Amino acid sequence: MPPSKRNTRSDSSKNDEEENGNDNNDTDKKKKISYVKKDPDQWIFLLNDSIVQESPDEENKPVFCRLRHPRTGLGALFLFAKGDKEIYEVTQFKEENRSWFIGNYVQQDGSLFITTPVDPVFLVLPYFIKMEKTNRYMTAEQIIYDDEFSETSRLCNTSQVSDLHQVSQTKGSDSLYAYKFDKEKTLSWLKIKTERVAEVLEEKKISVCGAHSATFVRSKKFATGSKDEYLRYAHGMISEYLPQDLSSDLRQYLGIPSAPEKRQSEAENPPSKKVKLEDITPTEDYSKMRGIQEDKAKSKSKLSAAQKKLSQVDKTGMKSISSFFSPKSKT
Amino acid sequence: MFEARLVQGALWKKVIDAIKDLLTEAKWDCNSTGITLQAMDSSHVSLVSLNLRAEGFDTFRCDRNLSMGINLSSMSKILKCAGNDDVITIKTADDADTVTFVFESQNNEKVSDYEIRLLDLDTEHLGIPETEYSCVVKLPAGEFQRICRDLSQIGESVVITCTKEGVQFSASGDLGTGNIKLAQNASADKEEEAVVIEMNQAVTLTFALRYLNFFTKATPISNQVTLSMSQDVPLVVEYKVADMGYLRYYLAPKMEDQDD
Repeated sequence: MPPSKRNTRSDSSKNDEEENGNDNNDTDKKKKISYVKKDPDQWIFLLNDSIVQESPDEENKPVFCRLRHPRTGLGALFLFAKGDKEIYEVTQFKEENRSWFIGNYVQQDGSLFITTPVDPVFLVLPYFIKMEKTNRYMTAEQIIYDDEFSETSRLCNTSQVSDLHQVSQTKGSDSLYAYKFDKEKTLSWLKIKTERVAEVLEEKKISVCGAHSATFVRSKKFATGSKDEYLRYAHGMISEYLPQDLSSDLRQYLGIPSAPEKRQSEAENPPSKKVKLEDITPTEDYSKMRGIQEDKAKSKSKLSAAQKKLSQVDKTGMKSISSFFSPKSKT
Repeated sequence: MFEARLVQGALWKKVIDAIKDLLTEAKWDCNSTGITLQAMDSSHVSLVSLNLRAEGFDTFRCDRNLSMGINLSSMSKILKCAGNDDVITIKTADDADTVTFVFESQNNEKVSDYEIRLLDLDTEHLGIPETEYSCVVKLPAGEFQRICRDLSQIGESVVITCTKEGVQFSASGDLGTGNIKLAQNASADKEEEAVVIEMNQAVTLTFALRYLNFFTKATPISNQVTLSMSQDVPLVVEYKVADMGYLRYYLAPKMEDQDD
């Protein structure tokens, strides 16, 4: 389908990716997915070349499947490629009143599908966690099974033993492996992932603190966020693919305080001006001094008015009563 | 389980009024023989010792020795809720962290109970030996209160001189001096008006009047007060609690040689 072949809008930073119109082979696949009805003929995809340049072997053709998203628990579109060996997340970028020009044609549906490789372990994690209750070792086929999304079993081929042992205890030999979810292992695995993301964020100098335009250039040297901020941001990115519970567990595991997340939830309702005023903190912190004074005041306030009078008594020449009576023996 | 019932509930009110200004909190030690309390004021120059024997209560039960740390101003507030004619019962369970005060009106028409939290107090207990004092002066409690009040107008401290002839209280200050002499008067008609002096050796001691004024808050407890003195040891001001025990105050003397 030559008219659909396009090489415009090439993104120099993504050399390995190239925009491809869908050729006939792909369209055949699309027809399988009957629930995408808008424009059943063709879509615009951002794909890795290797996915489409495959031998047209029927078995190894890329397949779109609806799988359960680990974060939301709802269905989401994924792409299996290379005989289920690779899996890509499919994200649709859509704006209203947008269409594509393809050769001499206009395609009404102006949405752009972006595929990004995703670690299959994220997708199977919810199933491992679900089976944790049974406290038994099970094979991958037993664990990775979903009544609603029958294609889920494809994940068995995608996830290798080497990946799965990161999140589970393993038993058995090459022919038959059995797994059991291991939270400690999972968290340490996720920690490494998060740290790697944080490293990349820092390397690319991606602003993680506060929002500003990507084209905004600071006059001074770029104020980069602290390590903690990068880590928190990375945790947020990883959490996109984690069930809620595991995400908060990971936050604890990484030692990130939960306070900033609270702020985010508050931000859903537009903050009133009053709240903003409260957020303003003084540049100098007198609270420590104040704490001491308060303590003193407390111990003083404990005394009644009468006792205050007593404390003013001139006690020169008066010895402590305990110097007259021995404190040891009881009468 | 500890339970002490006192028909004369007003006595509790008087006792607390007598000590609440001197002490903020205190440990009440309860055992089968009764209730005792010993505590120093915040500046550690005076000491309160209260002893209420079990026989004095109308019902007294104490299965296990226990000590209750109580904030006295709270206790005072609670006891203010009791009527003067009320029967007061104080009780607590063995491992409880609260103490309950039950007030019953005389005709049992009204029963109120109050519960306050116990405190975990770490106080040292002083051993006070029973000693012979050089001078023991017994005088009407009201008289002593009057003397202390009057002399506190003159000065901050009082010099108590006890001789065979009698006992003299004197104070001096910016506006002048004041002396009050009490002669022995054992032959008074009423026993509570008698001034009795037992003396082995004459003593002269100086005390802070403000403390004595606080001690005289115990005046409603008893008609008579006993002052026991020896040179350079604390004064003992004792109020007898009728048929039950005593309330004693100890006050360190002001010693002149310390100043020099």
